[in-house]
Amino acid sequence: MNKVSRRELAHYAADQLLSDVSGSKVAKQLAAVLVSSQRADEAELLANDIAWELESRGKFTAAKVTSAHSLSPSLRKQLLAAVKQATAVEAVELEEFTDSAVLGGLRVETAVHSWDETVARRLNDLRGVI
Amino acid sequence: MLGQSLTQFADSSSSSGIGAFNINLKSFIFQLVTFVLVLLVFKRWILPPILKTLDDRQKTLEDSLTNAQQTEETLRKTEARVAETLQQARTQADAALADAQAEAKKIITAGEQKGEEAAKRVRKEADSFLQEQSQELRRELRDELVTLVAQTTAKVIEQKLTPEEDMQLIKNAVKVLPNE
Repeated sequence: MNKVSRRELAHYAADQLLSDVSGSKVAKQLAAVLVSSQRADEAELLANDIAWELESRGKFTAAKVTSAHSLSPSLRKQLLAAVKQATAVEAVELEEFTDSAVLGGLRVETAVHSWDETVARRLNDLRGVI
Repeated sequence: MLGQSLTQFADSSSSSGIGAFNINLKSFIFQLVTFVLVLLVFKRWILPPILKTLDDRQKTLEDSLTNAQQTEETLRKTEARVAETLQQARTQADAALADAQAEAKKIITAGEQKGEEAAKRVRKEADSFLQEQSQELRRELRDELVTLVAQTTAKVIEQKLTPEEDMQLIKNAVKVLPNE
């Protein structure tokens, strides 16, 4: 039996999800394939691949936002619009994380893109320059 | 007959001639004859072997002398050759010694040069090693200093940056997100 690549699985899953097939059904199918091919440990990587596939097709992205302080609603709204515009996708979902290590500013990571505008990154850049 | 004649001659001259010297002529003649006979016998049988022996001895002596002279000549020539050979050997030995001394001097000079070059190389390597170590230490010190400054700055920022100021920073960050 030929082994189906993770990339092909992600492509298939993106097709299914965009065809309004329920997420749980797609998840079950993917889980079955991974278990039968003894690749259960690749589940997380497959999820990332599906996210990449969806974002590349301009349909959906989940943006991980990290900041030192919680975002205000208005700021969250601005950020949502900015990420949507920057990634050129139809729908964006923000996942907010608070981490004092970033000191200030924010970091946005999607499946395809990454923007780091934190004070910690600037300090790190400064160290590199020195 | 000879004896008789001699006796007659002796008798006739006993009172005159020789007899005047009061010599017994008979006895004289007898002794003379005896002498002649002895002389003849001596000359015939005794003298030749003696002469031969003397000749042989003389010849032997002459041969020995000749041999001695030849030997002496040979010895002289041999000594001359030995002296010449010794002189040549001495000359060759002197030349070989001079060559050996020159070669030794050359080797010593070369060894000194090599030693000097090796010492220079070692010194250069040591200098280079020390310089590298110094640069490495400076780099480490600078890195530690930078890390310390960064950590201190981070602490200061963490303490001094208010949520409002952070919100302003985030707003600015949102503005700089690229437009796809």
